[in-house]
Order: sequence, then structure tokens, then C-alpha cells
Amino acid sequence: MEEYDELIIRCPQLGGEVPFRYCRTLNEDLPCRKIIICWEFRIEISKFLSEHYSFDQIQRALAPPSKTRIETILELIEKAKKIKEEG
Amino acid sequence: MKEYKVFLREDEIPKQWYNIQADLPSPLQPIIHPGTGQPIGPQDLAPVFPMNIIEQEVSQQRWIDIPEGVMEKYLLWRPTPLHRAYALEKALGTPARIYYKNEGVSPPGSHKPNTAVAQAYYNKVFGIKRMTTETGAGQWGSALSFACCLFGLECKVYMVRISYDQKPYRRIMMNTWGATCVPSPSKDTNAGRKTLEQNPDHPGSLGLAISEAVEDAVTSKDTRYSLGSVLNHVLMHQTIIGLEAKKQLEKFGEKKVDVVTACAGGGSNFGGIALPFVLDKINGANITIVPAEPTSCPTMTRAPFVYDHGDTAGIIPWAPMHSLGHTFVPPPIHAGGLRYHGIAPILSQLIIEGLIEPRAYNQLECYAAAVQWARIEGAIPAPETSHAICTVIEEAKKAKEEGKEKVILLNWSGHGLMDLGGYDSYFSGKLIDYPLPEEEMKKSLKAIEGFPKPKMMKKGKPV
Repeated sequence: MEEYDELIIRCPQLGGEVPFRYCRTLNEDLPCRKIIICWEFRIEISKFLSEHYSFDQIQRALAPPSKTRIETILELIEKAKKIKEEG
Repeated sequence: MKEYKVFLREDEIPKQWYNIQADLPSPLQPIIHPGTGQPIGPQDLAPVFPMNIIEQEVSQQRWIDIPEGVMEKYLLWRPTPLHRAYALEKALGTPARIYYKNEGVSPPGSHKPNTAVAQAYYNKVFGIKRMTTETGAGQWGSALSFACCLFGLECKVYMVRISYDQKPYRRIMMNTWGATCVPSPSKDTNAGRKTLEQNPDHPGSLGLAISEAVEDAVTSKDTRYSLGSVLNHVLMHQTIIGLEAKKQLEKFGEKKVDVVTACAGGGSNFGGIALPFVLDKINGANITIVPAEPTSCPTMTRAPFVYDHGDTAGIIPWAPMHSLGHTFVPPPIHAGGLRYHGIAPILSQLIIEGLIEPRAYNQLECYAAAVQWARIEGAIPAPETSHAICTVIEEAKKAKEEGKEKVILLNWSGHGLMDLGGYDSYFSGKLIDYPLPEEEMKKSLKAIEGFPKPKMMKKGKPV
């Protein structure tokens, strides 16, 4: 799993260099959704994914976030408001 | 003796910002709230922005006075110089006259404090005592920290943890200006705590940092959130750049501009220099106005016009923009400032109207241009600025081929002294080029299938 961890790439989201370790753990310990597009010219990324993750994990990691996640975050904000009001 | 740069006297600085909403051939589409699907009202934005900024966001007034309190702070570094790039002209053998507006002279080193200072002022006037924001590598975070410092406001910056750990200098800048900069995920918000409970070593992401900054603003007393790009009022604050440049070009003896260019991520530095010239174009002037972007993150040159979230977490109401979908994460490029997945709605509308003509450049070409610039003109540009330098070189060569004395204006949006790691990667051959393939584009756009589609208007009529 750690074989590529020290390789470095420029992450456009952050504006700086990150190790492969970041890309494979960014998404709640699953790979970043763009890990294939970023790394396919550097390593055998598809092989890496299939060797270390289940099909479901790969699907979950590479799929766009659902509205449910957004709604969850909105709910967290509403909860925080209520906590403050109840203070 | 040749004049290499022109300054304005301080009493010549423009006294008003230009609001292009008054002159758009078609009005902007309404912003849709993700929860209700209905157009938002001022109260929907009130938890994150003060009402005086919301009023500017929707204002149709063409000219808006720059408050004295903002002007006093602008004068710390403004007016910025307009340079003539004689050496580059000579190196390219072009008959074109190349000018660049140097926004790298501001204390944080970029154009960003033009709006950070204005936003801090309006928050202060509204009675806000504390501001929050997110930052990746720290450019916007340092600009807002500087601005809050000037107005005695507290500032809390959520900086993506991996950058926080790896890039200490921007963080130290923020601390020097009195801001609190914490790594995101932090223990200070529910969003951060939840993430840390699951993984205490989580390296963070920009989407999570936005979630924390917005949650903090919504749940804390006398606190509001600040965004450094995309929104209408942000672009308007930046028009001071183009308005100054117009006066300076006159002092250089120029009566006409042929090409105006800047890089465009969220659109604020491009809008800043270009919008006053778009007004001229609307009134009949023949100007080529070019926002430049990376081929690997084509928000303007390839993406369709759809509604999309303004942030990756989906908290801020949807705004119509040229977009790759709110789930889009661009492939690896060098220019952190160009990472925003959607261009400003105003710029989207100008593309539809045919008033601006976006172009895309690959990262190796951009770095080659940046290095060429540094070795000829001296200053090292920010990586994102190099996209527009590509446009300048392209247009200068075209002028040479055509034998025309064109006037080219560039917004040199910031220096690259805080981003030398990118140059190091370029010199060591670590960077790669990656134009987004059609298949990848289609996959990304699936994320926004089913979202409401705005009406596309051109010159006031549906298209």
C-alpha cells in the first residue's frame, strides 16, 4: 500500500506539492476522486487501486459526492445554531 | 529618455469602482437556493455576508463611490505602477507595445487585497468584529489577514492542513498581521471535529476548509465569512486596477488598446483589469479581451453553462457559472490560484455575449513563459499570472507577423516568491501536462445532471 507514498505531485486544489499518500487518503481514508487523472502517467494507478481497494470502495471514492453529504453538512450547521441558541 | 513606468499621483486615483451589472446586455440569472430551488433573497445570504456587501452584490448602480476609509488603506500601495515591457518587446522583435499593471507591489504580493480591504471595511462599518475564510496555500488568507489587521478586526483562517504543515511562510504572514490561522480540519467546528474523530491525522481539503469557515461564521457572534473571488462585488472592487490602467495608458500617450489579458481562476483579477475595457467594447471599441486559463482545468474554454454550487461543500447558494460541476477536482497543475471550478457569473455572461474570448494554455508552456519573463523583465511572476503572459507573447508574435503596432495590456497579478516550489518542480522536470480528455469531462458533468439549467441570454434575448 505504501509503495508510492513518497512520490510528489502538484495539487491544484492546494497550490502546492503533495505526496501520493495524501492523494490515497484524502477522501475519508479513500483515494481522491481525481487520483486516476492525476497519477496515470506516473504509476500504474488502476492496478494499484484494484489491488488495494474493493470495487465498492473504488466506486465510492471516485463517484461524485451525493446531495446527502451536502445535506449532512447543512444539518451540522443547523445543529450548531441550535446548540448556540440553547447555549 | 524612455519612460519605463508611469505612476498616478495619489489625488489621481479613481474615486469610484465600476459595476458592470449596469451595462450587461443581458441581466445576470438569479441565484438559486439549493434547499428551496427558489431564487435567493438578501436574508438567505445574511448569515455569511453583511447587508452592505449584499446590497453591492445585487446593485445595478454603474459607479459606486470608494469610501474614504477604503481609500486611506488603498493608498498604502496604490496606485500601482503601469510598466512598459521594453525588454520583452525587444526580445520578441515585435512592433507591439506591451504594458503591464504591477499588482505584485501590494503588501501580500497580489491583487487580492483590493477586495479584502473593501470587504473588511464594510464588515467593520456593519458592526462585524470578526471574519473567517478558508485558504489553500495561503494567498487569499494572507490578503484577508492583512485587511482585517488594518481595520482592527479579528480574522480566522482555516488553512488546509497539509499546506499548513508544508508551507509555513504564508501562515507566518497571516500571524504577523495578527490573524489566527488554524489547520483544517480543526477542533473548532463540528465539521472539523467530526473529521478528526474519524481520522486524527486527516490532511484536510479545500472543501472541508470552506465548510469550517462558513460554519464558524454562521455560528459565531458578530462574525461573517469572506470570499476572495467569483462574486459580483469582489470583481467590482478589483476594477480599481483597470480604471487606474486607463489613466496611466493616457499618460503613456496611448489612445487605444488592442488586447487586454489576465489569468482567470475565479475571475477577480481578470475582471479587475478587463471590466472597464469591456465597457468600452460594449460602446463600440475594437478590443480583444482574453481571460487565460489552464488546459487541464477548462472552466471557460470547454465547459457548458449550468447552475452549480459556489463551493465544494455545497453550503453557499447556487450561482450560474461556467462550470465543470461542483464535484470537479482539476488534474494536477502548477497554478493554485486557478483551481476554482467555476468562473464568476459575470464572466460567464460576457463569454456568452462574445465580449471576452477565453484561451487555454498548458502548464509547461506557462512555466516557459514565466521563466522567459523573469529572465527578461526581472520579476518572477506567480504561476497563475504566467497564463496571461502566454497570451501576451502569442499576441506580440501575431503583431509581428501582421506588422501591426498593437497595444497589449497585461494584469501582472502577483509575484511568485511564495511559490518557488512550483518553479523548482518545473526545473526538475516533475511537472506534466494534462489536457482534460473528453471522456473525463463527460464523467465530471454527470455530477450536475438533473440540476436546474439557467436560461442563456445574449443581448437581452434567450439563445
